[in-house]
Amino acid sequence: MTPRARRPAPGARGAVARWRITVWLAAWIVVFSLLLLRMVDLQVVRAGVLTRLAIRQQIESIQLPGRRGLILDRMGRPLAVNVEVDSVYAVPRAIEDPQAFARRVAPLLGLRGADVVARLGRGGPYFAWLARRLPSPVSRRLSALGLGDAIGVLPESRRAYPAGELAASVIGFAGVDNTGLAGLELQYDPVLRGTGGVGLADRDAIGRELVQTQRIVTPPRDGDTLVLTLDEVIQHIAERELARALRDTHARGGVAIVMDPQTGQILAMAGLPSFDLNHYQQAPPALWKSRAVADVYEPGSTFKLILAAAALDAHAVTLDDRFADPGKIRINGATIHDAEPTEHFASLGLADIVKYSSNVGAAQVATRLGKAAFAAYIRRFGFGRPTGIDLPGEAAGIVRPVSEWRGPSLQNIGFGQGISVTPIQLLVAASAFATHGLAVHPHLVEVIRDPAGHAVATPGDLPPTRVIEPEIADQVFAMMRAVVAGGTGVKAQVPGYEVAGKTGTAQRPSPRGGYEPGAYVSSFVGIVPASSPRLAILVIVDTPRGAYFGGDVAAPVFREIARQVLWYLRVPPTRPLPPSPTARVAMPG
Amino acid sequence: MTTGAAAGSPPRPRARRLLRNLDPLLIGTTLALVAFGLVMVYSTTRGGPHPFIFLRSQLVHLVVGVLVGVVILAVDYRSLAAGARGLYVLNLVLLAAVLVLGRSSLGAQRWISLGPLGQFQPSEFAKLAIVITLAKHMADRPGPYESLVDLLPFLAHIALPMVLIFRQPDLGTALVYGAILLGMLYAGGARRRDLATLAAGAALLSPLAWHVLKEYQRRRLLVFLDPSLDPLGSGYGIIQSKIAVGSGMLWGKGLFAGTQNVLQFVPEHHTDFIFSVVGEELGFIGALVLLGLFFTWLARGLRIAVVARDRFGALAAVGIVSMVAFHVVVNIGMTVGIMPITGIPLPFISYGGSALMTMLWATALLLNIGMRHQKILF
Repeated sequence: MTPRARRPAPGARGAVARWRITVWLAAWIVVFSLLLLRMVDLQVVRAGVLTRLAIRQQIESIQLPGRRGLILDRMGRPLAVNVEVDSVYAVPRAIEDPQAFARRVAPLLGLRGADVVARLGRGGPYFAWLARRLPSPVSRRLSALGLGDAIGVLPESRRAYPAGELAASVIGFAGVDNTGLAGLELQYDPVLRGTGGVGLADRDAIGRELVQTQRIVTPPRDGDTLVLTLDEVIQHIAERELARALRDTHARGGVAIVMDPQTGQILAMAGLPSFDLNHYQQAPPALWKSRAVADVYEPGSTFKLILAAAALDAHAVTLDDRFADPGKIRINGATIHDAEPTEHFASLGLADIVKYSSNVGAAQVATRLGKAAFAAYIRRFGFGRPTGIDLPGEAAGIVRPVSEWRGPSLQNIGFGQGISVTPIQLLVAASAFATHGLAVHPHLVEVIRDPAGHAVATPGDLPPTRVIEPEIADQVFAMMRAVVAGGTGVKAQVPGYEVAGKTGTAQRPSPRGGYEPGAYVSSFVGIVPASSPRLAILVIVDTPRGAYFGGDVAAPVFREIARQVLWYLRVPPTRPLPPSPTARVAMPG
Repeated sequence: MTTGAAAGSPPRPRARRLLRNLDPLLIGTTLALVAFGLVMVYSTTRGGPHPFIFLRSQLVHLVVGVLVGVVILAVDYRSLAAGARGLYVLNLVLLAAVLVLGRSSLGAQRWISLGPLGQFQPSEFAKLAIVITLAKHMADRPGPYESLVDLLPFLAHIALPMVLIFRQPDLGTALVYGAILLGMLYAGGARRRDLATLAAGAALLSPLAWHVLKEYQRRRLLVFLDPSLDPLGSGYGIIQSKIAVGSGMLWGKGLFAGTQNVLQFVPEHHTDFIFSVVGEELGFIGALVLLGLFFTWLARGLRIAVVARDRFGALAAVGIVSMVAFHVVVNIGMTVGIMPITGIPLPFISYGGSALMTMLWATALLLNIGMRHQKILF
């Protein structure tokens, strides 16, 4: 090292001190070493973390939605389909002046400028929905604005319901994200939804996806198709005839169910008033539920079928026993009247009690049967628990425990008051008499098909359960024939076919307790043809004005539905047709 | 060699002897750095419809730079010292011209348009002009510098151009002047305590500078202290650059395969942030090679300072080395997040014609000083 004291003369060799240059070099070595240390820190120590950060911001995972499965009626007619519509998004990072952007874009999207600005702030820096599932195509008019990458259109699928109001509460609907929200759309959402796939694409610094780098990692799988047991035509018939009755009687609402009593397949399930599935948001949510399974009502006299079967099966009453019917009777401190216009006989057999719907007679039968036995049969027929039909929100009905049956409860329940059931429960129970005592499992989906069309499941195809001995069922079924042949249900007669059935007229419970004065629920449950049952039909009319007996209000609706459906299904008549004076050629055979 | 003849028509054998005195290692590292730079410029600019447009511009400047460099090499550097006064004035005029005529970009006014010849950045050449004129000034006042007062003339020497640069404003280049001054004063014999006093004075003045800084420069400094202040704005460059370097890991993602580069996550990745692409595509190994090349270049430059035949040559060599070393450290330091963002290019590597030519001429001057040292050492 050169001594510090030496200062070379100007212009001489070694004009600057060598040691000073060495120190200067050493200083830079130190600084370079610091840089090197930092490189080790970034590229070795923290390399993993930083690499993950890089991948996360560079690679975009794209959800590839599986298309939602279709809903078809039993003949393959579409009830719920998908249509392609435009959804518009923005890339907020690429927008310099959101106000100006909003002013230009808002009119096309049918929005206010402030809405657009608000939505820009709602997404991330790379993606914000501006408008989803627009009613009309906008992509061409948007690209004419020349906004480049700041705005884009994605095709999305929207659910459409070609049948509109038909079977609305049964089919249900899917919301804006194609998630089932009601009805079968909700019940079978996991099946219909399908599974989304995952795609990857490189993303550049302003969030643009590079199309040439897109790759599918897992392909999406479309949802399965539901093939329903419903028949659009039968559904239409049921809704039309029910609607006509509601109009004529100014009733509050109504239910009509058409079921195959042999299999439990629901051919039609009408609940009125209905709503348009394509505009479900505009309907009051109270309409969205399926009245046939979610609403309970007091069944009234149709419940006498259960009483009769229970009394016979328990040997509490024989077919030969006679009961007096003076028109009213006092039991347990209450007076029981006949509700329907029963002809006054000195004495009635059990069949007559059903045929003429005698409350006085039923009360006496119930007394003989006893609380415990009756309650057990009520359970066996499926009341008080859901049938398991494939619709959401099914009610269990209200069957109070025997310990709470006080005063005339037993007698009242004997003719269907003081107990609440769902329409589907009653129809299943009543149709068991047509099938020698077998209760079917009611269901709406006949088969689930995968996107290739292969049947993958038949969820409703469950074996029937025995609820009553065959002889007893047949005896009660004979009573049902008599009801239509010459009892309270004569207006349910269908030309050419024998009908079995039962009328019901029940007082309507008031929300404030007790019963609403003058408010009745009129119903008719029937089986046709009686000799080889094809249809089990329940018609309920809620609070008709004027005539209110089930035999007057509901039975004609049953008749009209049955007549048209039998014709539609080409069911051969089982008895000779009465001669028609005008049209001889209308019916075969 | 015709210009060489004009400068004093040296006899042929002498020219051959001079050529033999050229430092092959310095030339080799310079060529390697330039080649490295061309590859990286291509890597960062090849996207888009005209993949070669940047590379071609850089090549044109390279050719011009080498041609002018050969001229610089041929002229005895001592004749440059003779023209130092004129150079100083010319430099001031050019810097003033930028303020009047200059084109703005990114909030700073740095370029003068030359019409079809493109544009150039006088502040780049000014760095070299400062080195030459300051070396001459210090050679004329050889000291010994026994007090702070002895250093004041040199302080005044750089103060004028520094103020002009600051007005552009170009914080980075102004700091480069500081580094040049520090290196040359130290090598020239200034006392450590006087230099420390100067540094302390600069530190005391920095609050004043805060008011001179433009808003974006203040933000950059704050963000350097805490990038998460503004991760999508000013801090974005630092964060993305660190991610790029780090994700290169040991061996890099491969040339042209840097995803941060291709997807343009790093802003200014072909100019100021080009080292992020080196780190990403060539990894720690590539960065190590580049740092090794720079270090070799600096060491050879300082060797020339040691062997230079006179004070002017030695001080000029120290100034050039200080300038380049400061560029390298500040640029890489900012890319890896340990220095604030100041807009200083990476010598030989960053895209930019004026900077490349300045570096080539600086190298030529170094070689010039080195080949004209006294042969006694050999």
